[in-house]
Amino acid sequence: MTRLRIPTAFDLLLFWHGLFVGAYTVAYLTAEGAPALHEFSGYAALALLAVRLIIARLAGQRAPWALPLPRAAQWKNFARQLLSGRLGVLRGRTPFAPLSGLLILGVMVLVSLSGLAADWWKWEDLHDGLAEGSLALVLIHIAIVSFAPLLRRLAAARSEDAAPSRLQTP
Amino acid sequence: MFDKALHQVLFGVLFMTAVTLAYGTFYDRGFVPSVAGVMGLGDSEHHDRQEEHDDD
Repeated sequence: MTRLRIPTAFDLLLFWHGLFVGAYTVAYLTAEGAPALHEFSGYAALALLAVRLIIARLAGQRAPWALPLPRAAQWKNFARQLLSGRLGVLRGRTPFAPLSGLLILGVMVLVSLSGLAADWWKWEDLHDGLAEGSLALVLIHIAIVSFAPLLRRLAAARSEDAAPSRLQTP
Repeated sequence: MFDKALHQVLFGVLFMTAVTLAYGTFYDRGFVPSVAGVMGLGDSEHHDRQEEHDDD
């Protein structure tokens, strides 16, 4: 039997993230050929961004809704571990993930506001340029957050492959 | 955590696509042009021509 439980703040953040990715994807795909749908999904993305920033303001320093501002201690710890040759640190959560998230949030605010300007005052070139540039940032974010899980899965697959051969040796 | 985030992203894309399709179907140009629109195959020139025609 499936048990219902109250979603945690982190579940709600992931839900928001999913909706925002959906709004961005639809807005990107409809940019060239479906202006009404582009405006609809663009306004949805703007509303979701506003919700995110308002909750971040109310949450203050409390995780997970606080803005992922870079912390010097986190970067120092990460650099110290890398310099001491502990490459296993790359399999965990690196400070690059929250940094790329913060950069995306900032760029998305600019993209959404320029979209508003494109709608009201026909400043379309600015919006087009920012939106095209944001895709590169999104792809970098995907690469960064996928890197650690990919490394972990490769390591797990390697250890699974190695386990039977160890058993077979006399 | 990565898998959970990925599932939420897939849900979000499907949900926003469905909501945008519903908007396009009832308040814009209908279902088929909206499906083409969310697939990136929309025809905005046709839409512009229609708006110009409506203005006349």
